[in-house]
Amino acid sequence: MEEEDIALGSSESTNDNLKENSKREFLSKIFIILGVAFAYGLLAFEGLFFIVPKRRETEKIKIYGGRLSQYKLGSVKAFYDLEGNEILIMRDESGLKAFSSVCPHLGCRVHWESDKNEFFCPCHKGVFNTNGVAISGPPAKAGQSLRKVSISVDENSQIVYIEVNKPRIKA
Amino acid sequence: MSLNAKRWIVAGLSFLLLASLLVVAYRESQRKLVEERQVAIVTADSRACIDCHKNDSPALVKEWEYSKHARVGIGCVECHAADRNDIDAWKHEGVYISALVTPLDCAECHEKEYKEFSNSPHAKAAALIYNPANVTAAVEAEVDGQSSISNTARTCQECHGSIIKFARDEEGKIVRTGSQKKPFIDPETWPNSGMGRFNPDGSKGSCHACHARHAFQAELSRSPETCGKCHMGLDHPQLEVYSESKHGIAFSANRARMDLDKRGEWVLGRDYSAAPTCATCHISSYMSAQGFVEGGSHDVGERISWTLLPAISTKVNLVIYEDGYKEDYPETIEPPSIGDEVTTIETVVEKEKVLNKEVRRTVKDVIYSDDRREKMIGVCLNCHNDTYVDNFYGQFDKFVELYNEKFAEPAQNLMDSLQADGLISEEAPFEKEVQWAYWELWHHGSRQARHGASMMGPSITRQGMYEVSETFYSRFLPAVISAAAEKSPGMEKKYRKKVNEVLSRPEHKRNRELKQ
Amino acid sequence: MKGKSTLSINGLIKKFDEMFPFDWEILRQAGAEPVPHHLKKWWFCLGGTVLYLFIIQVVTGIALTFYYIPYPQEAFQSIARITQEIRFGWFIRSLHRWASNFLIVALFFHMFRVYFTGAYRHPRQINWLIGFMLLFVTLSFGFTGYSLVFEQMSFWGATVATNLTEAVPIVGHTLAYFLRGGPVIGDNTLTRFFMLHIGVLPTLAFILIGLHILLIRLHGVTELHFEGETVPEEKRFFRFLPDHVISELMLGVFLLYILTILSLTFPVGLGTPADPTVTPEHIKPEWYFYFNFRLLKLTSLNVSVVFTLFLCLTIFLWPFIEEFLQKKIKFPDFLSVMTGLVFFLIFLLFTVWESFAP
Repeated sequence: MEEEDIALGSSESTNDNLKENSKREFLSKIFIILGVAFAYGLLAFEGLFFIVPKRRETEKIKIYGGRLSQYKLGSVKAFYDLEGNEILIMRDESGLKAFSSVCPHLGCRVHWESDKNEFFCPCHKGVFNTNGVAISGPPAKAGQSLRKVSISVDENSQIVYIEVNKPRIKA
Repeated sequence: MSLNAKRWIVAGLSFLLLASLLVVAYRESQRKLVEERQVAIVTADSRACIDCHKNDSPALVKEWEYSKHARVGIGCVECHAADRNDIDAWKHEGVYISALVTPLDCAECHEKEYKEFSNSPHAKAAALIYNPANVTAAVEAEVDGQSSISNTARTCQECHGSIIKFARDEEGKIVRTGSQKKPFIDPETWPNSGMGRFNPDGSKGSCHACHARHAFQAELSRSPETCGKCHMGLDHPQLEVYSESKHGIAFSANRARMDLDKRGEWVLGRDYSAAPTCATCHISSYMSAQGFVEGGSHDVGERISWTLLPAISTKVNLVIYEDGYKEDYPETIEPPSIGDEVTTIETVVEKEKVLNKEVRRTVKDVIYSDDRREKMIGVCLNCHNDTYVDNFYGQFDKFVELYNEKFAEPAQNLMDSLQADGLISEEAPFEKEVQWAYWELWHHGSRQARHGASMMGPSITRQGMYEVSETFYSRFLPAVISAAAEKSPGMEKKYRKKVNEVLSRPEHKRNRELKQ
Repeated sequence: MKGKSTLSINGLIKKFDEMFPFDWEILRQAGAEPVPHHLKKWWFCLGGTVLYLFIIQVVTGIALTFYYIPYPQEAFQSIARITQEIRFGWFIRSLHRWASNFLIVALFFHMFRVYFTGAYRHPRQINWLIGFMLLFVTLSFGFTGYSLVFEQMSFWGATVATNLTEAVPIVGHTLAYFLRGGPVIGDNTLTRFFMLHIGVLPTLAFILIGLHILLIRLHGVTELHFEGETVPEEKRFFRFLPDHVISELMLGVFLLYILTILSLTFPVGLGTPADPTVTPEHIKPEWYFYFNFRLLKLTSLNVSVVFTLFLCLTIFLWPFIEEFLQKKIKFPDFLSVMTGLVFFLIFLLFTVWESFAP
């Protein structure tokens, strides 16, 4: 490495080249600032992309839920989705209805009371009717209902399909 | 180094850094997310199975993971679960299962296909050879209808299907092995995926013959090779004919354009157009002239107008009964009318024994051979126009009629005569030269010719027809006379006269020298 | 509070000064440190390199902590997720891995530079002690960090290493038990390695680095004169700001550039997840432990551990030992150099040897 260096306090140029040198210096100053700013800026940007996870809609998938004949009229059957959450499926005259068993009030699990024909949440005594609409207790006061889960029956095969969250892939 | 120089160097380095970071960003954008990979859904029930079986038979599990079943969460238990009272059920790791999955099991979800298949000619494939009245099959296969011998397991059974039986002890109870008491299947009847397999649950056939497990790929079942496993060879060379034909050539050149692995419906004229496969003409859906999706049935007999199986071909009418049972009626026999009660004779297996059972059935519908042909023509019209198709069928019909009239009927008459005169016996169908010659005439040569003609394989048709004439003139006719001569000079004279009568006909004029 | 506050800039600055009465002149002076001439030689910037790489590790490390899960069942999966799913995950992880390797190399070279320029001698002994402790901390970083990946090598490497600790005299058993969080590598182990890697070790590092730099400033950088070289008076020192800073910047950008290229060309991959029931045929620690590993293979467990401890102690106390030897038996300079050279060569030899062994 060349040892040509700047000693403390001394200027390296004569007055003749002063203008030229300061122009060079100016240019190098601009470029160094731009270069460093852009390079580290891009790095920071990429780091930001890393830290902030990509917004992704939870993908849904239809899974096999048995056949229509396995669902008794007027009764409620429990079904577990791929994340282990319980889904309550009831069959009445209008067909099949599926609800998440999570109470909209504070997240406890509701269950079906067949003798009373209602969904009941034991935590704060919330009650839901056969359409999942809260009719008594704190969820009723807030006008809440059980979250509906998409359920369908294939015409030809009478197979029941339930739409649940697709599980995250484990690498 | 001057400060300025240093600044330039840093500037230069940082632009290099910037460039490399841009490459990083580019690389990142090109990276395909793992999540795009399709995933098998393993429900809790199947998880238990997979945990062991992924080590026991890893490829099997991987194939299942690849299947469409896995996409929607149909796992092991959904197909293999059995009722505890089922004959082939046993308790395996806490669950009652059966290793044998029959069409009836598949019918749980695929009921339409099951109904179509179980009343199709495919489902009758085993009944055909095990039919106690079918002496020829019995002799050719050394099958006496009541038990199978090792010969057939690797031959006839493999295509036509076996009768699944269990090993039994002296008291007739099923032998069970191991701590789990697995029922022991007669090793001569399993493994088997024959089309007409007699299953212990009363159903016939096996879906996985065409829809190979455990990936159940549509690709496979739509490919001609699947059909070709059985529909090939001396007596029914459909695969060879197809491969020779323009249809087959177009297919092999355009396989990539066939969209064979398309999920769901696979419709000619909409999803693909390059060529037909076996499935296209005989099973699958096609665009009708009116713009609707037509067809699509697992009953392979729906579109068949001729039967090319017997010595003498006839057009066939289809009689459909109330319970779904179907029968082909040759046009020489008047079919029953709708509403008639008919005693059908069905080859069934009861208690592991084959028998011809009389079943009274009511006629629901009669489909005439012309209407069956119309269904087939619907496929042809996707690529060919009316004249083309009509003329083809005209040529095909005439060819079959030629064979019938020139060779088949005279030969049949001679054979009937020999039979009536006690010169040959049905009990020993391959005793004499004449019987061999006759067999090869109609069962081999002519069927090559007839199938060749049906699917535009000219070389095979010609080959077959050559065999027919060669056999007829140089082997069969002389053998008729020698068979007669064996009995008495009087018989010999009689049959010589008969043969000459045949040869006197105008169509045989070129072989008049054979007249003796 | 004094009089009427004006909304002028000066007024605001004055108000801030009253709130935060720091003498900014101190910083200005600290920045105006005259840098001795010989620091223009690039091999004197190795310490700075280590610091810069350490900063990179901290930044990338913190980023990785956003997604890493320190439970045995999840650890490998989380790293797989980082490598395959998260945006730029492969890049951040590769940077972290490559920088760690560069860091240790630079650290070794810095140590050798310090040794061979005798910069550990009086009055700089304490800095040498701190430096050695930093070496220990850095190697611990490397060890715990690698174990966190929870691949087969991580798991079994950690098993071997913690078993080695058992052989340390007196405290060995307790030490091993503490490291593992139990008698065998288990759930506790990963959690505590994680805690060490992101908590205890960084804190120690920050304190030690702070002291290290403080001592440098307090002592001033050793002025070195090279034989035959005459430096004119006005060139004896050069400015910290901007000259030295720009040199450091050059180095920094260059390092990051090299690391990026390496991350692009040789991105870090995934091994097989740790399986406590299957021991791989060939277990190897990270390359910086090859010396110890080779030593272990050549001798026995106890011998190698005790010898390593003895070696560490010697290196640690070297300034004092050398001083003692110089006083008592007139230990010449060149022998010091020789000792160092011999150790360096043996270290190199063992490391390379081990790298060829299966």
